[in-house]
Amino acid sequence: MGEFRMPSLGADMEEGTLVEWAVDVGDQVSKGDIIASVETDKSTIEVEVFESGTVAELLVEPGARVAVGTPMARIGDSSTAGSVGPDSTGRSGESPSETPPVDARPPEAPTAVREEQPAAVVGDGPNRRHASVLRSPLVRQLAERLQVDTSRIRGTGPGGSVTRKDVELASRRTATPATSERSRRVTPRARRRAAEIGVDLSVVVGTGVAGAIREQDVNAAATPRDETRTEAAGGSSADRMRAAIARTMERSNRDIPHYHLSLMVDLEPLDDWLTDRNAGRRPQERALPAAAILRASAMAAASVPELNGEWRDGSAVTSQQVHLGVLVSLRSGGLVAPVLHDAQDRSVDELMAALLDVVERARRGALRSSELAGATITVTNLGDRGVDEVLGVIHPPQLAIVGVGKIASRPMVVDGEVRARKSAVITLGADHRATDGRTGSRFLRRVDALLRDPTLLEPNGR
Amino acid sequence: MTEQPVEVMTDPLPAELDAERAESLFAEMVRIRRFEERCVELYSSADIRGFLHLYIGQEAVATGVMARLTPSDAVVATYRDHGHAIAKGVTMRAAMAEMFGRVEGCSRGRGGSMHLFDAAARVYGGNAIVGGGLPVAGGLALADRLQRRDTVTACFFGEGAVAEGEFHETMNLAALWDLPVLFCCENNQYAMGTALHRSEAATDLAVRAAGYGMAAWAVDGMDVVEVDRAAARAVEMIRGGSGPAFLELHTYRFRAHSMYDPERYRDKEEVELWKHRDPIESFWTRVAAAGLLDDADRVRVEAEVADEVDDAVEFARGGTLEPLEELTRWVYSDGSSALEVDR
Ligand SMILES: Cc1ncc(C[n+]2csc(CCOP(=O)(O)OP(=O)(O)O)c2C)c(N)n1
Repeated sequence: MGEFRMPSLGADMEEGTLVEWAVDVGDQVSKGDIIASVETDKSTIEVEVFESGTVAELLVEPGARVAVGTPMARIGDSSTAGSVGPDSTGRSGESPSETPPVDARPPEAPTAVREEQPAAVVGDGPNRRHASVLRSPLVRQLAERLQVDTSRIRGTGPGGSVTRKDVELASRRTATPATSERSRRVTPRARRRAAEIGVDLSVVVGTGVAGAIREQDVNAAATPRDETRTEAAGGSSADRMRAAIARTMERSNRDIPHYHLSLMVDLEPLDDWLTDRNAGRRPQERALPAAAILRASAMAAASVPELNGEWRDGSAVTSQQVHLGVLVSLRSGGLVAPVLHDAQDRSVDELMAALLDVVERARRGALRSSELAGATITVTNLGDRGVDEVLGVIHPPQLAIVGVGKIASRPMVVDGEVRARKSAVITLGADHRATDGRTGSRFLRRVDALLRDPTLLEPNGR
Repeated sequence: MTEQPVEVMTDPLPAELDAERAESLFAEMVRIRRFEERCVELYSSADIRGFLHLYIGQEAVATGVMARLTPSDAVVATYRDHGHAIAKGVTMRAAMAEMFGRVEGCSRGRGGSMHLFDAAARVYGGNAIVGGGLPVAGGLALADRLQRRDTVTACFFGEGAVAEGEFHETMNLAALWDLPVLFCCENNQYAMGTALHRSEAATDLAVRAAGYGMAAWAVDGMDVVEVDRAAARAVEMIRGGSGPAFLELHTYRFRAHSMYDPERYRDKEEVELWKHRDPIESFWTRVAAAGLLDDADRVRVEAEVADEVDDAVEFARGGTLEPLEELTRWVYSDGSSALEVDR
C-alpha cells in the first residue's frame, strides 16, 4: 500500500492547494501518471504519482491547502498483475542468483575514494624519492606552477640539481591528468566479466573506442592460473563460468568423501549484542549477523586447525592463518569466492567492512586476482535466500566448508520453556580423509559457544 | 513554428557497432534516465532541495559524445548536468550524494544538482549561468594547448547560450587560437519558455558557428548512433590539431525546464510527438531488430542500473551534512596553494 503525498515543487514551497484530482477511487494508476493538479504560490502544476496500483482512497478534497509531505491519497496494490508503469525497470529481483548469499546490504563504503595524481617519476624505479637539489627559485616556481613534485625528480643539472627542463619534462609525463579507476571507460560486459573472473580493471588496457576496456581486454588480462578461471574461449562468459564451476564441483564430489554436521544455534544473544552495539552508529558502520558469524567461524577454525588448510598429496596440510573464502553469487549467474586473508586477526567490524567491500567489488568487477586465491576454509551463507540449512560442497583442495542458513524465530527450549528465539542452522561439511565427525563437532560447538556469548568475539573478550 | 520531430529514415547501424558497444551505449542512456527518474521522486519528497533540471529526452547527446572522449578529456556542462557527469565517469554515488547536499558528494555537497564537479573525472562542472561554461572550456583548452596535451574539452550548452556575449567571445577566440574545444550545442528548442525563433533571427546554429571559422555540423541528437558518429569525426579532427569544432545537436527535453513549470509555451501533443523519438526506445528498437541485443540483455541492464541507483540513494542518505563550523571554509581562498586544499 503506497501513498501519494503533496510533493515539493520547489525548494521554497511549504504548502500547496489541491485544485483537482485527475483520478477517482478505483482507477488504476501507473508510476509517472498525472494524478492531480496543485496550485503553488507561483502557478498551477500537474503532478505525477510514483506508485503503480489502484487508487484506494482520496484523503484530501479539492480546495484544501496542505503542507508538503501530507498524504493525499492511498494507492493500493494493483489487482491486475500487468499494470506496470511505462518506466518500470523490468527487473527480476527475485531470481535466486541475483543477490549474494552473504547477508550483505548494498554496501555503504563511507566515501568515494579518490585516487591521487600519479606522481611524476623520472629515474630508477617506481617510487624512488630523490634528495632533489633545487637551486633556482625560478625552477621552484615553475615546479609549483606545473604541480610537479620535485622530490621525485632526478636532476640533470650540475651536482644533480633540478633544471627547468627536468621540471618541464616531468610535468609532461603527468600531463595526462589523473584517471581514477572509476573514470576509466569500461563496457558493462567487460565490467561483468571482470567481476566473474576476478580481474582488477585498473591493470587492463582498453582497446575499444576512446580506449574503452572491452570484454576481450579483460579476458586477455586474466591469468588462467587456477581452474575456476576461464579456459575455453567459446560460449558466453556465463557459460564459461558455469563450466569452471562444474569442473571444480565434479572434482570435489569425486575426490572428497564429505561428512556433514549441523547445529541449531540460538542467536538471540547475538541479536541483542548487535542491537546494542549498533545503536547510535551510522548505517554504514553497523555490523550485521553475517559478520559476527564470519568472526566466529574464523576463531573456531583457528582453534580447530585440523579443518583449516588444504589436502595435498594424500595428507592434510593445516594452516595457522585463517584465510576465509566467502562465496558471493553474481547477478549474471555463477559464483566467486573472494578471500578475507588473516581473518583470525580481524574484528567483527573489520570483517563487516571487508565483507561489504568484497561483495561490492565482486559485483562491480574490481576484485584483484590475489583476492581470489589462498582460502583455507570457506563460508557460504544462503540465509537471505530463505533456506534453513546449507550442506556445502568443499572447494578443493580445502578441508571444510561452513554453511549458514536463514536467521528466523523458531521455537526453542530455554530454561525448560518453549520460547520463540532467533536462531540459525550452521553446518559443517568436512573432508573425511582429513578428519572425523568428532573434530567437526568440536568446530561447530566452538562456533555455538562464541555466538551464545558474543563478547567472546571481541579482541579482548577472552 | 518550432521544429517538429520528423520521422527520420535512420541509416542502417554501422558495421563496427557490435553487441558490446550497443549495450554500452544503451546502458549509459538507461543509467542517466533512471538516475533522474529517481531524482524526481526524491525532489518531490523534499530529500533533494534547490533546483533540479532534468536531462530526460536528451540522453543520446551526452552518451554519444562521451563515448568518444577519453578519461583525460575534459567536460564542461550547464545546470542540466547530471547526464554529462554520469556519462563522463562521476559515480552515481558521488552525484546523488551531491544532490542530497552531503559531504560525500562530488562537490562536497556545496554545489548541488547544478554544480557537479569532479576533477578526477575531469568534469568541470555544471554552471548556473547561461553561457557561463563557454569561457571556462576555452580556458581549459588553452591550458591544454599551451602544455601540448592532446586532450579535448567538450563544452555542452543550450541553444539559449547562443544569445550570450560569452558565446561569441569564446567561439571567436577558440577559432582564432585553434583551441581544442568541441562545442556541443544542445538545441532542445526552448530556453525556458522561449522558442529559439522568438529570440534569434538566424536559427540555423551550425551555419552561424561556421561563420566563426570552425567546422560545424548539424546532428540528430535523438539518435545516439548519429551523435557518436559526429563526435568521432569532430574529436578526431580536433585531436589532429585543426582547432575547434561545433555540433548542433537537435534534441528535445521531455520534462519541464526545471523540476516543475506549467509548460504553457508548448502543447502536450508536441511533447508526445517527440516522445516517439525517445532516444532510448528508438535505439533499443534498432539494436533489437538487428539482433545485437535481446530482451534478456535489457532485463539485465535494467536490473543492474536499478541496483546502482538504489545503492547511490542509500549512500547519499547515509552521507554527512556539512558541520556548521565548516560553512565558511573554501568560500574565499585562504592563501594556501590549490595543492593544499584538503580533498
Ligand atoms: C546569464 C543568464 N541569464 C538568464 C538566466 C536564466 N535562465 C536559466 S535557464 C535559462 C534558459 C536557457 O536555455 P538553454 O540555454 O536553451 O538551455 P536548456 O535549459 O534548454 O538546457 C535561462 C534564461 C541565467 N541562468 N543566466
